[in-house]
Amino acid sequence: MTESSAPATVPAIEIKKLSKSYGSHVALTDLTLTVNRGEIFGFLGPNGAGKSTAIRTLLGFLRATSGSASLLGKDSVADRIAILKVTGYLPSAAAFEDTVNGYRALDELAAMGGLATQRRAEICESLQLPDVTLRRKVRDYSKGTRQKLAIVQALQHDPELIILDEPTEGLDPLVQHSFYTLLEKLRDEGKTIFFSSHILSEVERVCARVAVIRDGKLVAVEDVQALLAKRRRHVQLRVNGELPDVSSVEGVTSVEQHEGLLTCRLQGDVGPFIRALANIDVQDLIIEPAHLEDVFLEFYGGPSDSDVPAAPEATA
Amino acid sequence: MNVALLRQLMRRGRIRLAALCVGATLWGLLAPVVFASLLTAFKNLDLPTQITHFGSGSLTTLTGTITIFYEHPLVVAMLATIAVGFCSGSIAGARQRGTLEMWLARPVTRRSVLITTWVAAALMLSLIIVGLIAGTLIGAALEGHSSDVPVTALPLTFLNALLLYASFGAFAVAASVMNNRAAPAMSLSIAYVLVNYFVEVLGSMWPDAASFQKYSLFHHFQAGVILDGNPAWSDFALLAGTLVVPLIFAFVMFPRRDLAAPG
Repeated sequence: MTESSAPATVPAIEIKKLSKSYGSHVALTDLTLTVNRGEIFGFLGPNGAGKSTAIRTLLGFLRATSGSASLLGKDSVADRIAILKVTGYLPSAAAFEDTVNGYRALDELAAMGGLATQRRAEICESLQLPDVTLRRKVRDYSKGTRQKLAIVQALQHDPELIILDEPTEGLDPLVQHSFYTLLEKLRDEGKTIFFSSHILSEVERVCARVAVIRDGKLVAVEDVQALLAKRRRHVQLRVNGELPDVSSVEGVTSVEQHEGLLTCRLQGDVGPFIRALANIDVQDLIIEPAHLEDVFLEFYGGPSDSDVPAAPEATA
Repeated sequence: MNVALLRQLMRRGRIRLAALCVGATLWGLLAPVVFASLLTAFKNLDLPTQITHFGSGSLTTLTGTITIFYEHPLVVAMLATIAVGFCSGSIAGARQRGTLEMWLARPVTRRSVLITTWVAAALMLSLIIVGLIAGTLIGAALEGHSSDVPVTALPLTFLNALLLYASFGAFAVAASVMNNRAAPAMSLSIAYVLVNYFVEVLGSMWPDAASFQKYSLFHHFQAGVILDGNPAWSDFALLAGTLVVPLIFAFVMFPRRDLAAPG
């Protein structure tokens, strides 16, 4: 494994008031964010929100207009080479020289940086990228297979910090599942994973925290569990006999009764609601899990720019 | 410089390079053969210089014939293919395809990528020019004119040719650094070579335009005078200058440029 010399208490990523403008167009405004060691951090936002700009500025592909960033305790500009020795990066539009086979493409990229390839076999197996595929020319690969190869090149040298820009783009659901399992394994080994996505439900499974960016501005940094606690589930209840009055139960709102069917919305812990049904002869009960996406739409889904409500934890 | 990248670039261009080397060798081989076959025919003819002379060469001597072959548009096209084609596509093409971002995601500096691509181009140019010279030596041996070839002047001829085309390559690298796409960089570089070539040819055909020839880089590739044992060192210095200036420009500008997302 490649090791950084930074102590474990130093954040994996620390961004301070990072801004990027192209002439009069402001792509990123005062982004301030901290990603802790050993966490999977989701960086969310719709297409064009500034996710890739933030990542590319962080890694030195773009020059920041103002602000600074450090990765593993090192300055992102001055110590770029040292950072990249222990970082794996997946660009949003990863590309390979397509006249070579998969093995050679991976070998060449590793050789360029003097990086090892000790985890290649394991990552390939996790992503269902078999030997026979790696022996084929890259130009014959499907979009999904290219994406798998791109993930392998980012992870094969066992980096300490992993930055992935839209990693599941083009992957089928089965491989997506394997990919998330792999991320969890890497996190358990102490790696830090920072990945961007525009699909909220993607990050729900693996991320401890998420940041939301819109129009180049950070809208929120939230703990996923805290966010999910804010969710309002949709409840449908059918009972044998008279419908109970649940309007006074903690977290219940929007109660409606119609032809023996009770519907309501339930926020927070489901315990009080279940206890309220203790003496009821329940015929059918459906509690639809609210997805992270619903929560975000509810809290942050308003019109863009200045109309977006300020989140309580806008910086971490 | 990044040795691994250099190996990749050389491996990637090996088929085109091999074809150009074979072509250059065959072309170089033709010069003594043509000279030998025309020697008898030209001996008793009083032909005008517009027919016997081209650039700094002349069909009446072996060194003059070699010069004509070395300054021939076919050789210009062969060497410019590498100098302009390879160099102008090096950075801008990799950026456009998205491979540059993959390279720079490794712990390598932009400057090392830049220098490596230019060194790869210079290596390729060297191999083609060596092929050209080797062909000439083989041809002279086949025709029994080995003793007429000024072998000691060949390294300087090689250097003069390399400086000329490497300076075109340096311009193309600079154009490549300043563009996000390969096509504009290549267009600019081709235009640069064509303008230089046009000024040189125009000056050799039209006496009124002869004074402008010194502004063409081609005018400072004087194979004839080198082979005749009178190299003009100012030509070497000027070509070295036109090689270094664009490289320094690219060296300074490349790390400062935002790398646009591929597309």
